Amino acid sequence: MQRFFLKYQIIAILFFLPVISFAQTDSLQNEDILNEILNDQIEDSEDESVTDAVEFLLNNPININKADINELQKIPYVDFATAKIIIDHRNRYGAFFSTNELYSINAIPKESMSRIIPFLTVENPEGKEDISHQNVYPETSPLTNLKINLRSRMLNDLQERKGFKTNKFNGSSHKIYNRIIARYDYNFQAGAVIEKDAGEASFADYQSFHIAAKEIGILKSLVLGDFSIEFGQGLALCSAYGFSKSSDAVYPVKKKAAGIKPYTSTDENNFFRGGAAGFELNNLSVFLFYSNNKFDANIDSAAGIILSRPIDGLHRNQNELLKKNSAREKIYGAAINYSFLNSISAGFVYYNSSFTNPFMKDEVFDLDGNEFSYSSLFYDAVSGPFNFFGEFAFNLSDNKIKTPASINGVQISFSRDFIFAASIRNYPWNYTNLHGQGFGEQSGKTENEFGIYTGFKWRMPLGIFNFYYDQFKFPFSTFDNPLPSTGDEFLLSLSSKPIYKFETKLYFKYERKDVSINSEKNKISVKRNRQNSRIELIYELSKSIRLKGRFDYNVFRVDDANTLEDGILFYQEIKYAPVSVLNIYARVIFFNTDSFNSAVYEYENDLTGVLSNFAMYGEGMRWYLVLRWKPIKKLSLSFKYSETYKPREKFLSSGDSQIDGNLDNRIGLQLDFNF
Amino acid sequence: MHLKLLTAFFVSFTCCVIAQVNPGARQAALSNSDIALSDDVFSLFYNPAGLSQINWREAGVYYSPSPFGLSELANGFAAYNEPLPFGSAAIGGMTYGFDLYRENKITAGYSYNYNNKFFIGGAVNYHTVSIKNYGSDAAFYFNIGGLVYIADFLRWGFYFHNINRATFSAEENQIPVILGSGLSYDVLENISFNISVIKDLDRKASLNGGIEYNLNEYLSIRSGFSNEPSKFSAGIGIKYSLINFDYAMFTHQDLGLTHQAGIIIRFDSEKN
Repeated sequence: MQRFFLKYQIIAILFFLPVISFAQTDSLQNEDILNEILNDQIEDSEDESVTDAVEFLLNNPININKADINELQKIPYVDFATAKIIIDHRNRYGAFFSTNELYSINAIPKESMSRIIPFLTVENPEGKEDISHQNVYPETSPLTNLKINLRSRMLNDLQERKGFKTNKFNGSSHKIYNRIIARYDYNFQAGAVIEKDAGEASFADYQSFHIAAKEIGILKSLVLGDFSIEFGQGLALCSAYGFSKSSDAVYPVKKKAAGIKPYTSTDENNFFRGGAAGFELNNLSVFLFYSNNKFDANIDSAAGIILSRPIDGLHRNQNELLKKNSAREKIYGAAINYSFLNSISAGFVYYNSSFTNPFMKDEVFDLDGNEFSYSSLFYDAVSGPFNFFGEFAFNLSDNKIKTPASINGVQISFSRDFIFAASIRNYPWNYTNLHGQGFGEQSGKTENEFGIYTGFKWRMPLGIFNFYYDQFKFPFSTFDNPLPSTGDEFLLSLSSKPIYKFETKLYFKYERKDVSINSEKNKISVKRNRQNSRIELIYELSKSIRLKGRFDYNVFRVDDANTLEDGILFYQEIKYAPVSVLNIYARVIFFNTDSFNSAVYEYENDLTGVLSNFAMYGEGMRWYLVLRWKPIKKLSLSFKYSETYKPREKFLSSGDSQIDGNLDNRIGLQLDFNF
Repeated sequence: MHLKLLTAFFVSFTCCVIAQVNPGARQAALSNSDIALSDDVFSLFYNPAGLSQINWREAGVYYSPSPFGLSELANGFAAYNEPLPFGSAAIGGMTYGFDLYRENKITAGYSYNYNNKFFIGGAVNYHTVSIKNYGSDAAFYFNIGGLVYIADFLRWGFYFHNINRATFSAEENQIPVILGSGLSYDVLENISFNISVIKDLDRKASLNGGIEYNLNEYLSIRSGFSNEPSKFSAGIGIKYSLINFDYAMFTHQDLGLTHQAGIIIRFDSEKN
C-alpha cells in the first residue's frame, strides 16, 4: 500500500514539477498570492505591517520537514485542520522530497495548496535546499549564496494639497522609500530601510537597520538593530501584525507568535532597537532582548511630562520635528518556552520598560509614571482534534495585585471539513498595556474589554461557509463612550465555485454597538447598527484574463437618533497577464454613500509592500491601473496610477491635505532589484 | 401639458443636460437588464463588446414617438453591424428632441472576439446638442465593454460609458458617466433571465431584472423591472424571415406610459 502511494507521489511530482518550478521562477506569482491574501483577510485595517509580515513569511519559508503544527499555522490559509493533514501525511510517509509533493495530498484542494506552497521549503537530510523551491528572490548565482534585494519606491500626489500650497512643509510632496535586504545562505540577513513621507525634507527621515542570523547550532534567532517580538497570544508583547476578525472565522482567533524577527516596516513608532537572541536546546527555548529606542512625543517643556505620543511619523516642519524622537524607552526582558510530548508547549515572558519622561495621567486607566513591567504565562496544547491555547498577562507596574489580562481559546477540528474555534478574552481596565495586542474588538488596545467569540469554518459541497459571533463589553469608559458599553457582531460568508473557474462570494456582517451621541443637553448612549452585504464574482477566463466584480451595500442605523443611512459600492476589475512576466490590473469603482458612517472599504492592488484599503464615501468614482513587469529575473517594475473623482464636491479631504477641486490622483513607481 | 413637459425634462435631466434616451425595444422591454445578453445591433449603444456575438450583417431602426406622451421627447436610432475576420464593427446614430432643443449622436464601435468566449469592445461617440437661441456644443466620448461566457448558459457582461468624462460647455458632468454590470442566465433553452446593476455617477444605482421567453421561432415575450427609477416594462418580439419586429412599453411612476418599437434586419438568418 505504502509503495503504491510512493509511486503515486513520484508521478505527481514529475507531473507538477515543470509547471510549478517554471511558474515560481519567472512569474509574478508571489506578488499575486500576497495580494489575494490581503484581499481575503483584511476587513477595515490600514495597517501596512500586515503586508510586511506576509512578505517576510514568503521570503523566509518554513521548512516543512521540521515545522510543527503551530509553525505551519503561521501561513495564511493554513488552519488547524490543514496543518494537521500535512503533519499526519509527514508522519505517515516520512519527510517530503519537494514541496510539490504536497499536491499529492488529496484532502487539500490543489488551488489551496498552490497558495500555501510558496510559504514552504524543504530541507533534505543533507541540509541543502530543495531545488524546486524558489522564493521571491529567485536568482541564485552559482558562485555565491549572497542574495541582495533592493527596493525603491516613489509615490506622489498630482494635486497640490493645502499644506504644500501654503508652504507649510519643508520638503517635497514625494513619498520615497528605499530598502535593501541582503541574505547570505539560509542563515544570515542584513537590511536597512530609509523613508521620507510627503512633506518631509530629509530622504532619510526614518531609518531602520538590522543584522540577523537564524538556526546556527543552538542559536535559533539573533537580531541586532531593529526587531519586533511576539510571544503567546500577544497580550504582553506583540508586533502590530495581526489579522483581525475577518471573513475567515477561524484563522484570526489564535495568534501565531513569531518570536524574534528583524523589523523592516515603516511604522516609525512601534519597534524595538537593540538586540535580541533566542536559543533552543532540545525542548527548551530561551529568549533575551534589550532595546533602547527613541520615539515621538509631545512633551510639556516645564514639567517634562509626556502629553501624547503621535504615531503618524510625520516630521514635515519645525513643529513636527520638535516632537521627533524626543523621548526614549528602555526595555529589557526574557522569555522561555518549553515544549514536551511534541504537542504541548508553555512559556513565560517578562519585561521591564522605563521611559526618560513620565506620562501625563489624564484618565483613570491611562499609563501613569515612567516605569512599567509586565509578565505573562502562555500555553498551547494539541490533543487529537483539540487545540487549546491561551495567555495570562500581569501588569506588575506599581506593585499592586491586579487581575491578569487573559485569553483562552480552543480550536476543534471535528473533521477535515469542519473546524470550530472559540475564545474568551478578559482584559481588565487596569491592564494598562504598553506593547501588547490581543485579539479583540479594539484595535491596538488590550484593555477594558471582555468578549466571547465563537466561529466555525465548514467546507461543504456548496462551498466554504464561515460563521462567527462575537460578543463584547467595555466595562469602563472608552475613547468614544463615557459610559460602559456593549456590542456584538456576527458574520456569514459563503464562497463557492458553482462553475469551473467561476467563484462567487457572499458576505454578510451585522454589528451592533453602543455609541455616544450629543443630544440637546448632554451625551447619550445609543445603539448603533451597521450592516454590510456583499456579492463578489470572480471568473478566471483563461491563464491570462481574470474578471472580478463586487457589489457592496451598507446600512448604518441609529434608531434613537433617527439616523438611517446607506451606501453602495460597485466595481468591475480586469486582470490581464499577456505573458507570465507582465500583470496588468484595471479597476473602475463607483460608489455612493450618505456619509462617512456608511463608507465601504475597498481593498486594492498596489505596489508590493503598499497596503491600500480605502474607506470610500460620498458620491463619486475611482479607477486605477497597476502594472507589474519583470523584464528580467533580476528586475521587476511596478507602476500604479489611481484617480478618485467626486463630481459634487468643491474640495476633497481636509486640513493640510485638502485638495481644491474634486479630483484626487496619484502615481506610484517601484523598482525591485535582485542580485 | 407644459407642466408635464417641464417635469419630464427635469426628470430626465436631474444631472445632465443630455437626456438618457436609449434604443432598442427589446432592451426597453427588459428594463436594460440585458448587459450580459447584448446580442443585437443596438448593443453598440450599451455594451459594444456584444457586437462580435453577431457574425452576420445586421441593421436596425428604433423609434420612440412620444415618451411619456410627449412628442417633444421623440427619439430615433439607427445602427448597422458588419462582421469582420476579427470581431465586428458597427456604426449608428441618434436624434432626439424637437425644433427648440436637439441632440444628435454618431457612434462607431468595434468588438473583438476571443475564442467565442470573451468579447471586448469599444465605441466612440460624437455627440452634439443645440438649443435654439442659446447655441450649441459637441463632445467626443468613449465607451468600453466586456462580455464573457462563464458557461453555455451563463454570461457576464459589463460596460463603462464616457470613460474620458467628456462634458458640454464648462460645466462638469453633463454627459453621464456610467458603470454597468450584469448576468444573463438561460433557465431553459428558450428562457433567459437577466439581471444588472447600473450606476450613473450622478444618480442612485439601479437594479434591473428582465426575462425573455421565446415561445417559438416566431414569437418572444419579455418583461422587466428596475428600481431606480421605479419602472415596469413588457414587450413582444416577432421574427419573420430576416425581419425582427420588437415592441415595448414601460411605465414610469410619475410620468406614465411610454411605447416604442424597432425593426432589426438580419442579413444572414442561417446563423441565427
